[in-house]
Amino acid sequence: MVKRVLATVALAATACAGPAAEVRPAPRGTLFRYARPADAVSVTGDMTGWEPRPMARRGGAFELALPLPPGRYEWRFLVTRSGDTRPFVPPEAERVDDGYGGENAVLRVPGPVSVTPGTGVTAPEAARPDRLKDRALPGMKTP
Amino acid sequence: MKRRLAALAFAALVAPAAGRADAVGDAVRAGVAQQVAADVAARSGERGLSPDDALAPIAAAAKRGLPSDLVAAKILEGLAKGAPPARVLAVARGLEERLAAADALLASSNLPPPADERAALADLADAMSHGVTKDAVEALVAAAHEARGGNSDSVVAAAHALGELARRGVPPADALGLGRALTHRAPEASRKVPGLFDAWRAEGGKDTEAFLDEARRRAESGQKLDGVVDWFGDSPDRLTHDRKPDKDGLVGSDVGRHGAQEGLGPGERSDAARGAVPGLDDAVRGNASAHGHGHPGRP
Repeated sequence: MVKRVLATVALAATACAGPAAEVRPAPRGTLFRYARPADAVSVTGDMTGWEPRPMARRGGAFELALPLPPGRYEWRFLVTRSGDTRPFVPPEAERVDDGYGGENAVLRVPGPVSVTPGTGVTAPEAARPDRLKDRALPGMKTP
Repeated sequence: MKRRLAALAFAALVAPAAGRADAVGDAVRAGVAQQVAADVAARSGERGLSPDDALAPIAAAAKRGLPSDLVAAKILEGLAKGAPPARVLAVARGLEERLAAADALLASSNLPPPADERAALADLADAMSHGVTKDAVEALVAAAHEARGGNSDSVVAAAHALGELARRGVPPADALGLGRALTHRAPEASRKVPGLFDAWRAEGGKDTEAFLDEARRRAESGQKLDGVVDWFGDSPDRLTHDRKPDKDGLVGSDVGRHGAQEGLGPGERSDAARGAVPGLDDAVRGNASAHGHGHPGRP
């Protein structure tokens, strides 16, 4: 009983404190938000060509909106505090092994889908049953 | 003499740029986007990796009709993270090979194409990097064919869940039953499994087979997977047992070694009654289900 009460209190406290980080759709694209003490925070990932993209301070949080086309993106935050910069992957995010001894978060930006009449099978309007074409990485710079 | 020195200095400055341009041109001719090839060449050169070497696996992927930008992104990621050049190349080459294997598996599956083929290949390649074999993926494909509306998205998501469980120490062969059941569900269900497994372990769950059994049972019976973790520590195995009958008409937790018997007092055990009156097993099970006796430790 005591454990149940303590667990409930812990859950409520967590809910009140809010998530350390979140990613959600926003009017100007996909909003990345980091809400813990830091001197500076950046987003880095497939969508930035793995170049850090600084986030802007908004109140007690850091935010950055990126216009992202539908797709799957691996990414993480870079959090600087007291001169020390460390990667941060939100614990509640879908995570994958990065192949370099660390982890990335996975962001899935959904695309429009259509339903094939009579089958109930959904497929994206942009589905290509033939071959894949190269896609330029958004945010990548040309020298 | 001065003129010769000037010519040598000019050549030293121009030659790397010319070499880089050749490497970019070759990659573009192989089908790599110009912007991608130029960016990889510039950044690999800055960080001690020859542009020719960096662009080779990207161009190879493009020649095979694979999404070469995934390989390019993995190289840029390794360079940004300060990985040694040899490691970056090994990771990129491994990714290219797994993308090709994933592409072949999806092409031979005879299932509707994935909603996002690039994402599906990335997920399947990732699963394969953690030991999900071709045979395992083919078993998932077979299970998807048995499901109404089975599709490659569900197969890929199930394979990815197996890969993530493998990364947490669960052999894919052990989790294959859960994987098969997940192919009958939307991909979102599979994507929850690794997080739920982490949460269950954080709660003190230790019996991985019990977790896999309960998750599979929920997936098969169409129940939500979210509730599988017993957050309040009421059950010894830290699992909230599904009480819906499975496809054989048996009540989930009454079947198998992780059943209703755990956490129950001697007078509550249904097997005592089952043994006492032959032929009444089904009735007893039905009774247990109706009264919710199957939930270990729950009042």
